[in-house]
Amino acid sequence: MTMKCLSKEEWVKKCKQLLEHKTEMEERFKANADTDIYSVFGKA
Amino acid sequence: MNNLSLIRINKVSPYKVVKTPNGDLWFSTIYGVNYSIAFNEEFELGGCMAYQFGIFNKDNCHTPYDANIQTTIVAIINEFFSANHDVLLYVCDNKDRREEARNRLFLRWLKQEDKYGKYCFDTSSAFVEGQEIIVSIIVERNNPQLQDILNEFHVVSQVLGDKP
Repeated sequence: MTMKCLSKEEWVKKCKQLLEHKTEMEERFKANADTDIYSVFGKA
Repeated sequence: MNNLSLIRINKVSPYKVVKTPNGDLWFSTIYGVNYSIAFNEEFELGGCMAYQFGIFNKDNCHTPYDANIQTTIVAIINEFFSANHDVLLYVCDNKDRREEARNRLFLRWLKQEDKYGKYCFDTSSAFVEGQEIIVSIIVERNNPQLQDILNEFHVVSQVLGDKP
């Protein structure tokens, strides 16, 4: 089945997932937003 | 998604890019502002996998114009396409006008740096439960699936583009 066969409801679900995943990515950033990244994750 | 090479990115990136344990790519500017570039596998589009990517920095952080941010982000995007011949999705909702502006700014950056017309861009808005979201796709022009990807994106845009 190609993605073109998906119904509108299924695409709406996928769009909602996109927004959820974006929030998850942003939350990961916020959790470490003030980190000295070069000390923690690698030397500059 | 194939791993992105920090070595290749840092050869051309003005800011040193590092990878966090969960795979996100971070860099810090001379103004001390941290940026995160994150990728997330989403779904197939036109026979290729589509990955959402996000650019995050600290809210309300206003710093002077810094061209090195643009160059660093574009270096990461170029490395993504060197390692993955797939589709990038950039998503924003219209709850935050600044986010919409950032979306336009990012696409402008990438188009400015795309001197050889390597990339194809398309943008569409969708209405999901009364909320408008804006989705942009970026694909390499030499992707053998390019036409299928664009066609499917247009079909989905039409399906979701009707205002409720």
